[in-house]
Amino acid sequence: MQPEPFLTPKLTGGRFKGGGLPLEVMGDFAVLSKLLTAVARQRFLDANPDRTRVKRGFAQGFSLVLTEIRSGSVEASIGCEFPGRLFAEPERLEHLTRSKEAVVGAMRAAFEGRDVSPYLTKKQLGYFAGFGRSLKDGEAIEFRETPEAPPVRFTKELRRKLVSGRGEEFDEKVEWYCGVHELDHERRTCKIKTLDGAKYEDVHFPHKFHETLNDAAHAYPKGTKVRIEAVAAFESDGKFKAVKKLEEVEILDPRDVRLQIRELKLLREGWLDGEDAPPPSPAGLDWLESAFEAGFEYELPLPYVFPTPDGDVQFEWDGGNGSLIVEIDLERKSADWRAKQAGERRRGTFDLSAAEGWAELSDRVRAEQTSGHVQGNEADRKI
Amino acid sequence: MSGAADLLRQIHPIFVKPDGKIGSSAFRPSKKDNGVLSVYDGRQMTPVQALTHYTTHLGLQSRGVRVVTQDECEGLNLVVVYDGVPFPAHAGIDFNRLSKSQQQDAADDLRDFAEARGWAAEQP
Repeated sequence: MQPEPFLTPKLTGGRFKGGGLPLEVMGDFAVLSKLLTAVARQRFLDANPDRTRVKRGFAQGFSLVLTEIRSGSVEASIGCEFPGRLFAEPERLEHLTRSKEAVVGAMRAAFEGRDVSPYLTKKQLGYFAGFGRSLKDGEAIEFRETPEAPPVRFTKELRRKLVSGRGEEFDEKVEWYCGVHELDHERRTCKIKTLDGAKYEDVHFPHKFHETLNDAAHAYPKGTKVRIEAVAAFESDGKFKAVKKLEEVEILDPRDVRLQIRELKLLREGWLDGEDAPPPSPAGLDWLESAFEAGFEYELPLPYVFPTPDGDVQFEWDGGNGSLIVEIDLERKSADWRAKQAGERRRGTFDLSAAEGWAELSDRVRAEQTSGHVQGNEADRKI
Repeated sequence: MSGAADLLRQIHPIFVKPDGKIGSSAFRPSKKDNGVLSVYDGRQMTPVQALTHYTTHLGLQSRGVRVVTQDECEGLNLVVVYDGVPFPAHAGIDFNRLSKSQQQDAADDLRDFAEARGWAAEQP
């Protein structure tokens, strides 16, 4: 039999913009399946108060399966199979449907600041420790109880609300752009300082990251930064407690665009000369980061990234006998470029709302590099 | 006041990269500046005094001070205005005579002049 259509979550932002479903997220869906099953079991018991246990094989009688992934943003169709049966089992399907309503209802209640206890027990909320843990800033999974219902956006922040609703500490995946300013080789711990100035001490690291972190610590005085992915523990009120597991450490090129964009995100209104200078908009910077990653050819030299006094962004390349400057209008997603070499100036525009515009930008950088007007940043990469 | 002045520009840390590269937008006025770039009159304050005034008295962020000259500005068709407002050593480089693209070019050139001189004063 065809799986019974059950749930169609839509994944938006960040890694989902490419149209594919990252394998890392599959683990989250496995936890969601467990949560739905656990709640369905509870719904069965609620509907049968004379029973203390569910029917034998209750959970084995159905299986939630991924039936289709539609790209655009990513829309994952999840169906319900009833192994060995020709038809859906109405009773099990009914309990599963009630389970879905409870889970999405809890998300909606948390989003609206309402009490989630009418929907899920504290124990059931514990499943959110696993579901959504891989979500990054700017990413969301949209759920609906029914196709007609308005979507509720399940984000990192909403997950935090649900997990903290248990009143217990919880884990969360964190991504830090930071400097490593001290290393304790004996204890295998390091001290880091993130771009916003927050300091974390006693960050324990596995042996495999020793060399990378040691290099990063030596290069700290030169401003070298790293990107760290880790699982961190938080108190129930959301306060950071400790790093539980360091999963990835990457030494960053000083011109890493993700790093430079995160630095721009720290600017606040009136950042320049005490005037009402606007910072670049966060949404504009998110667009720029993902469009750059998707559209700019990776083997070309990376740009310096600067804000403009009016809240836009300027890319600059130099190092040869000239320079190339690209001024990006974040709202219009367009850019003016200008190149200077020995007093001669050339200029033009790019439409960066389309892939063709990014290809033209890549071609321009390549042409300026080939002519010796700008240089690659290989030297910067040696820390 | 007589003689051509050194003009002292405060450079926000976001305009300075770890290798010392300075963004040319550090030398461009915003629309809210009405097209006039704020600088200090080097005849009234030394670079170190200007840096202290900017960061301590005004409480603003600066990585340090870079210098351009009045002659360089005039060579780019920019007008230097010694307005003394909001404090006596305040001056401005007026970009309003120039078109948008000329303003961009002038900012690039001012940055190049200033970059060639190095820091006149720098945060420790």
